[in-house]
Amino acid sequence: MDIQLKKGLLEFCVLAVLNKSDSYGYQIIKDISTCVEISESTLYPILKRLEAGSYLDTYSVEYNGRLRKYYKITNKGKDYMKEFLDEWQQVMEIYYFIKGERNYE
Amino acid sequence: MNKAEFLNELSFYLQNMNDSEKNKFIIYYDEMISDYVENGMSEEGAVNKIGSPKKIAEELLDDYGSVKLNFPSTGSRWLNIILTVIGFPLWGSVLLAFLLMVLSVYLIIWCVPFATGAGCVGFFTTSIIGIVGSPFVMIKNVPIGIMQLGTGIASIGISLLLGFATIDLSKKIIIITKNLNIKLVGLFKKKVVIR
Repeated sequence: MDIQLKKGLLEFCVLAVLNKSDSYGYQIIKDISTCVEISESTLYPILKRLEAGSYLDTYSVEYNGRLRKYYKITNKGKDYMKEFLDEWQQVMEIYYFIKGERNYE
Repeated sequence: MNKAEFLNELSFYLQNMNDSEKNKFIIYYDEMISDYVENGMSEEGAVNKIGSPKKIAEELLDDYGSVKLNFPSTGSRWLNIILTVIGFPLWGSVLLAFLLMVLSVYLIIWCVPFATGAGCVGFFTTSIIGIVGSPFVMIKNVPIGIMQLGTGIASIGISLLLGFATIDLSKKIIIITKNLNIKLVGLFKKKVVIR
């Protein structure tokens, strides 16, 4: 898959995971991996970008004598995801157009 | 490679990144490896799965797009400016010495073609005066007049040779100057070495 497209889609995969419940790095990778392959070094910049855009918040929880960083989706993040899903109809139109299954005459 | 070695190496490759960004990144991998280990993987296995520190660091720095320079800073913009101004006698004099040294190097290099050029003009003037003046001398004293004419013609030759030498030397020195300029500019343009 095109790297840029994949990166963009993975952003929403991360938000989708967090929309169910707050999560941490390892668990996010595990959850997303059931659908699409994602590596640790791919996830990091995505989390960073989402945090910078305040689509997610972070907080730390002590676990087994160490700190674990949890990520939490913000309202802005939820809106962002909803926007993406609403746009999907348009994406499908484009998909059919590219595939040549759409009549436009 | 165990976790500590992995994190050390990663930190080494990211040494030019600013500290807070680097620490976040190290903590991220620290946590990730710990989680793998707690879920039944060996430390070596987890490190292997994550990949080579060098490659990860390169990917991360690529993702940054441009390299952030880690300038020494006091954290306050105004304090930085004030300290820079107060420190002027120190860095200003060093900078001035450096600039003057560069200037003197250029002057010394350019002295050579300047000398040949001056010689060229001098001999050319001599030849003109010598040749134009020789008939007047010949009226009074023929042998000395002929010698005067000969000297004038010889001067034209020397002047031409020096002229060619000047052009040749200038061309070469222009190249040397250009290279030197590039090197000097390079001293200041030098950015952080990533790899």
